Amino acid sequence: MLKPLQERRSALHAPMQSPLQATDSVDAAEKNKRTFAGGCHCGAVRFEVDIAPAAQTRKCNCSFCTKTRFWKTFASTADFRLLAGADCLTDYQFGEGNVHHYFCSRCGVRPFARTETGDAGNDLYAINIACLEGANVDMLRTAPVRYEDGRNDDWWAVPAETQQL
Amino acid sequence: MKKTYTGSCHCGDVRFECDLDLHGEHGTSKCNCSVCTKGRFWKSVISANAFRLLKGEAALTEYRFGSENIRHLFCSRCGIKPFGRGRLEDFGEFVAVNLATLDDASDEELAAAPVQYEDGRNDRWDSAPAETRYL
Repeated sequence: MLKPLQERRSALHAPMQSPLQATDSVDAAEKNKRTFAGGCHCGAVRFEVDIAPAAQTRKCNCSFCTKTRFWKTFASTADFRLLAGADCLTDYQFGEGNVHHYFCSRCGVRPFARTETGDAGNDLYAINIACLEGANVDMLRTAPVRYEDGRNDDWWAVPAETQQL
Repeated sequence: MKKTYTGSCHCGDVRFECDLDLHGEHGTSKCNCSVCTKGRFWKSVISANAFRLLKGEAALTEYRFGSENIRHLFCSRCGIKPFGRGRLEDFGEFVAVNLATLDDASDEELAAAPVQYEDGRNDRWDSAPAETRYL
């Protein structure tokens, strides 16, 4: 049985409004999306993802994001293409087990994670900004970062200290 | 001031202890080389003598690349990289501790630690890269 909506969203790091609505006009953002290439370090895992240049990037202080210094932006499943390495990904789950924290079993780098909502159309990829390649990645790296207090399950609050994330 | 910290991966299979001074003798560093960039690796480099692996040697997967001098280690179950090992000519055996995996260093303590930036991408470990904000 599905959990109450509020609970599912909270556990997914997914806020009440869609994290993909980073700009005033969703239509304009759709049109402006650019394709970024990314991968792990050893080259086994390769992917492509379409992201709007104005997309918001996020850092969270939950137990897991803290240890990986995970820096993410969300993408819909429709905007994500795994090009190589499905068989190299190890899937780590904890807590409610509704996020697939993948990493390359050869080099340990984690290029992306995937949420599991029970409805594939609503699933999201959390793309690791640090694993994107190419000159246009600077657009994302220099964008303002949204900080999330995942440690206290308060995803819309900014933690008191963020410098270490 | 040198303190003893405990660190671990996320699933708990790997645990360690280390003696380090975040603000003095050891300090901290971030590098823009290919592997540090993708792992957002934030480290303190300490002597192997100041590091004690409490559990999990068998849980670690080793990854090497390039000159293969550094043993990049990660937990096979959760993928977290608690530390790497290597040897430097003038330093001897060292451990590069991933500061993000320390369990008893407070957010404030880490945030206040001085960071030295290294241009590893261009093999210039003594110079800071032009851009460091994303590291």
